[in-house]
Amino acid sequence: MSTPIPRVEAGGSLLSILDLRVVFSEGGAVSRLFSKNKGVQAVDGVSLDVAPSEIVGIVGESGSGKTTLALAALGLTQVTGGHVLYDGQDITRLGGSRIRRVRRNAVMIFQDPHSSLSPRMRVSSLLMEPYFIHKVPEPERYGVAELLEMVELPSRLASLYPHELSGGQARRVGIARALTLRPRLIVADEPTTGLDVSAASSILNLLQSLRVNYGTAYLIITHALNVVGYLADRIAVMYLGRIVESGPAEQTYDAPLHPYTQALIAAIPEMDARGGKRETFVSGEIPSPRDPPSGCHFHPRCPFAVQTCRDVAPLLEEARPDQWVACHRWREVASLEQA
Amino acid sequence: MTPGSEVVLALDDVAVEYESRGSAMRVLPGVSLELRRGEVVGLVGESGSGKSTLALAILRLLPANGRIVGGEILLDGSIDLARLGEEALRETRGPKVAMVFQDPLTSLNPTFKIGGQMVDVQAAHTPRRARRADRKVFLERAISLLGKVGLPDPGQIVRSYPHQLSGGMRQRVMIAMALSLEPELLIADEPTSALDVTLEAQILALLRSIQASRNLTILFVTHDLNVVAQICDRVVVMYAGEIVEQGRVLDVFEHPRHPYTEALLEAVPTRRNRGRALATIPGQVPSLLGELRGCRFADRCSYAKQCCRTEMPPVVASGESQAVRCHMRGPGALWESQDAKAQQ
Repeated sequence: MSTPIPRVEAGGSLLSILDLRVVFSEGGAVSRLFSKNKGVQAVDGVSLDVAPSEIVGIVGESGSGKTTLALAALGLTQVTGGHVLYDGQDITRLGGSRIRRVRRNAVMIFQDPHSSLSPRMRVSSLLMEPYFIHKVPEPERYGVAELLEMVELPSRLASLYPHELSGGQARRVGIARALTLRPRLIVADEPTTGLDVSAASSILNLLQSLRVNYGTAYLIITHALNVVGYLADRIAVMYLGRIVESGPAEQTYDAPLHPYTQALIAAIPEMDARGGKRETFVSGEIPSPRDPPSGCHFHPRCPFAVQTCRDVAPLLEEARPDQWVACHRWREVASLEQA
Repeated sequence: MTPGSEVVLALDDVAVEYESRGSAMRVLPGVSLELRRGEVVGLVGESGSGKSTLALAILRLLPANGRIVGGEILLDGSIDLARLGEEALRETRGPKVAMVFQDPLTSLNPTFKIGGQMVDVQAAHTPRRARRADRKVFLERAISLLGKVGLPDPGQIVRSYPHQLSGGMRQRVMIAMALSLEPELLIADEPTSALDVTLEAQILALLRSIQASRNLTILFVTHDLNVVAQICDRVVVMYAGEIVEQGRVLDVFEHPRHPYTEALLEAVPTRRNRGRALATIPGQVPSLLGELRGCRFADRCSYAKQCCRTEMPPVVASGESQAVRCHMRGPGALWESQDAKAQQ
């Protein structure tokens, strides 16, 4: 089993995820008892840090476990093993009122704003609801108009219901709702997916300016590499529940070491890359997490795979300063890239 | 890959209306566009731009409340799709013009196996008497086509139900099905929008190679400018039901002439604009209810002058391949693009 070495940083982290495991079991208790089905390893030994006001992007395709990781980071799903430390406090062991206190400071923006906003509440009530849940005294609250202004929405929207909002507006209300409690960490699941180009760019600008103005840290989950390439300080690439590469965003983007990261970046259609682009993308699709391949999960799709890759799961190692890669052959891959 | 000069499809002043609550909404006021043989044309725009309506209108697949109220859709210079009778239309859809949709799961019948559905498509376009005997031939053709679109073990795929395949595999099946009647024009409406990036790259490469080997003409409808750059020869930008700019992809992306195209291109996040704020377009797409005067982008345009609000801008040729609908690009252009300014 791969146990990546946690990046130890002396007390600097706001969120520390240590060797996190999430297994979803399938079927009832009896069938589980008698079958060899070990369940789905959605997250398999992931370690990750987010420093205050840092933006960390988690990239992966469907089935990589990135959304489960996001939910686990906020204690929103049952964890099978490992730790999630928020400000040094392990939230996997917290319950009831104490986890609620953590959630005042660490909030989530969900992918589908329309399904995360109650259709029976007006925007104004939606924005004030977190204050009632957390019993925040009046003087410490933002006003509705103030919150709408923070996300650049006109105040007349306060009296509308979610179905009366456009996709971009609903997304902004979701962000405003996340801001009500002045969180230090926002976990955003696919914040721009499904939005038009100009709506998406204004959401990205908004996230950027909130960080500048309030020092908010972000964990951004996305399959859109160009979004993290634009926004994130650090990126971590996930494949079938494991982090295969992580490092400073620009460095990792410019010189990816893991064959999967290289394939992902090669696959991004880019505006100025026509013609001169390498067409060395991977074949096949991400396998089912129900029955992941042995050894390195990526080996059936990897052009560099050798026998060791089939037998032994590689550990994360620091290949370049602060750039970590889980690949047996990264040295050879890197030298091939240069040739 | 150089497109010939033969025009496969010519839209002339095509107008489409949607009926809603008793009033008519003119979503396409009159669109003209030509597609040449062997060309891949990207039709881009945001939601509400009318790009999907235009694609559906070509095949007369508009929803029940939509209808073509004017103009011609000429296929091969002779067949006017806008006025074709039901029977003739059926003979055109498939053998001449085929379509691939965004979500293959809603286009495939969940209760039939892939093989049967692919056989039916071919049988529907064969004279009744020959159908029975040909089913075996059709199935063999289906298997060979599934192999050509890069599906492993096509013999097994024909025996599968749609839900047993992954999203990427289903989209390949849809492409194989669309090709089974050897159309000359393929309309693809957001065919990769629901796919992961590595699958998207595979499907785009597949479409490119099919296009090249069959000299197919493709109209590629998408909101993703990066995808356009990857696969298209020419790009057509739509805004609020109108074509605001068109031209060769390289020309348009290097030197956008319309303020809307320019804003769209600057709104795409990439590594190069890291740390900089992205361009946004203030305001909303105008409501198409009621009479619209002047340029439809004027309210959101930072260059707009008085004439933009009152007079419909003319279409002006620009550069080698471009055409743009903008007052500011006419004789004695009032407007300079960002990159022209930067060069100075």
